[in-house]
Amino acid sequence: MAEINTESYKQNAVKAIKDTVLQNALSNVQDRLGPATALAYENLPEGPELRLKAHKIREFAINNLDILLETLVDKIRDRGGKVFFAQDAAQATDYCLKVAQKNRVKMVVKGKSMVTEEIGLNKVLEANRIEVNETDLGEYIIQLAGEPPSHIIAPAIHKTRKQVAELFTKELGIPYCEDPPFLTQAARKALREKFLKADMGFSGCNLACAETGHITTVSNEGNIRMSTTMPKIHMVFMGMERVVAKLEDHDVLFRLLSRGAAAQNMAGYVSYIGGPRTENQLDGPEEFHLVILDNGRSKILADPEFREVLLCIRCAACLNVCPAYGKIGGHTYGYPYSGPIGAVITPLFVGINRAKDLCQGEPLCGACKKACPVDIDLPRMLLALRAKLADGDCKWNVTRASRMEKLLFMTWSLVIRNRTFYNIALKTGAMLQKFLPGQNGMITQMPFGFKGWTRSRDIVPLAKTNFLTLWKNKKP
Amino acid sequence: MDNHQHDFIKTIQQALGKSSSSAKVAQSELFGTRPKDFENQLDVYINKSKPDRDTLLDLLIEQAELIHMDVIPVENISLASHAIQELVQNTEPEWGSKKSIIAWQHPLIDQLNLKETLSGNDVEVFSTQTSTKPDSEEREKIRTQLLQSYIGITSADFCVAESATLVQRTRPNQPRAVSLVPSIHVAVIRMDQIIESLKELYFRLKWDPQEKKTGLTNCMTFISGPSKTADIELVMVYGAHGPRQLLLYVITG
Repeated sequence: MAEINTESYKQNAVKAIKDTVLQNALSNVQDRLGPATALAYENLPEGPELRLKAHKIREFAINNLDILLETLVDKIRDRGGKVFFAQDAAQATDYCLKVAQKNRVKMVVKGKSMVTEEIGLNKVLEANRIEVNETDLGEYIIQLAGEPPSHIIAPAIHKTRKQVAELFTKELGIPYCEDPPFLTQAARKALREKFLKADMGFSGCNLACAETGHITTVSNEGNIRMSTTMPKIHMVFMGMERVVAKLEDHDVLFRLLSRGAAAQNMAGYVSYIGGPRTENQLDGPEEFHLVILDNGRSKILADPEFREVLLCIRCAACLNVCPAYGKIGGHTYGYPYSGPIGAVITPLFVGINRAKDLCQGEPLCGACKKACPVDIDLPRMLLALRAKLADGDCKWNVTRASRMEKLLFMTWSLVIRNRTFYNIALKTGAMLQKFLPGQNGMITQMPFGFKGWTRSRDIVPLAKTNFLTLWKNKKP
Repeated sequence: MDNHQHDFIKTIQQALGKSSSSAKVAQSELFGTRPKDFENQLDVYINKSKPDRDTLLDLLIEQAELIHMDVIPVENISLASHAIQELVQNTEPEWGSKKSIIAWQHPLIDQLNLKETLSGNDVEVFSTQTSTKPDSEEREKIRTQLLQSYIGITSADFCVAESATLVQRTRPNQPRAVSLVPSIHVAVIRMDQIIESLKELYFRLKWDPQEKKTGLTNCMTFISGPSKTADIELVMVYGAHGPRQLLLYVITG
């Protein structure tokens, strides 16, 4: 399993907001990718409405997941591929380790994969003395730095070129230079050797196609093609929801995925892989393994309230528009999945109480829904999670986050539904507020549990005479 | 090894509220049925008029420019061959000092006659032709030649104009790494291999009897532009792990 640090969300957020380097990096990402993706949707021949069609395609796939997965794996087995179904992270990593040890694997190369982050694959392999090389440039940078990814598709976006230059000088022994082409070339050179020497290559799976029996991988760098072509063994890790029925479904989905992820018409490389090389082919892996992972997904599938989140194709478009992500960055979320998608899916994976701050920290502004290439209603699910925290929920084993909060809201509900109580409350409030610290006619600090409201702003005091009284007393 | 499939799928069925007996859904419902007018549609796709093909070529050139990919229309195959000779003269290998290039064994690529036109001049030309059942020795030889080569020459099955995407399916004698490992990737296609859209591609792959025979193969690759990354401060850099440059020659005659 990946490390879970969702409990330190608030402290992490405070730190992130003070980090000026990070703040610049985050604005850079959001200013460039957010509007570019919106424009790319507008420029689609079908317009942004195409997202609704994509939603239907994904929904259909999820509703037929059992049959689609069986169709997919039958075809892959027919071509000589091996398939393993893993109920949890441990089963997935165990299987991987067994295959690696059976083949005396000493060194592996990896294409970028969020699922392998989720199951903590690298740690397991390294603990068994297998050298792991991340090959996506961003992943490579953070692997050298010993950090988790901070963005789903641009994992090292929190690092400046200066930091990367310092890191490469130290780790690769190259002269110090801040030029991105120079730094990229250094990584290209270092990783080329790894690609050619690796005994095994790993990839994730963007969207499998059940009808034809292929997994697909998407990249711009070509590292995934390298990892899946050069080593003798290719192993794919796929979240069980990442399949669609028909080949032509990929038309809509790849066009939207490329736009959502990086405002491109089409990602640089897309590969459909359906098994090991055949005996008459000159290259490609001798062995092909597909590991399909549940790890909490079937529980989400069983709940109609959250099933929709399984439509996600992990493009990170929601990160690029989210005001919360734009301030606190990816590491704050304390789990590989960050941003609005992380705020919904992480609590469902690791426990809603444990990750409660994630769904409570998002502003419900709706930007993520608009940016989503498959039109997932993340705000609805954020609210549903909050409702569970407010009232408790036995199905998800949620205990009420705060009794005090519930009590306050019950009282508030009583008061505003009764005119007499409400008037009394207003009058009492108007009297008591004199004792609160103030400045320029504003209240600068609220008492007790309400302090948070005035931490970064002042609040307008209650009027001496309320509007209703003024209206009544108004002379015609 | 038990692969847990039975329990895994059963869990999904329970989550979806299905009993396993109700799980049978018609294949047609899942994967679609052949459109009634498919023959007409296919005809429209395959027999495009000359002006339509010219428009597609223009669209391809325009889209390719956006992604740093050079599309060069040439009248005939010998002009393509000349252009490649010039390219070899004007470029230097990235890793070694010897100029080696590797080319697919492919009807169109064979016509370039690269061995005859380029050999000598300190240029080595490798071809990927091997026996029908290559053994590990042959594979190793090709791999070594591939790693020595700084230019890889391939063709493609299709080129999608709307996104400047080359579509390659794996075949014997056409290793996928030729379009990946060398620093420069050169592709040569005929004008009639340019298609309009992904929609057209999938339609043809799915319904054209000729294409269905080949299928997607065990590895179908889409290539749109040279390898690139923007992982350092979102600055676009070409040549991350794959080719730094991608040139596409389109035979128009």
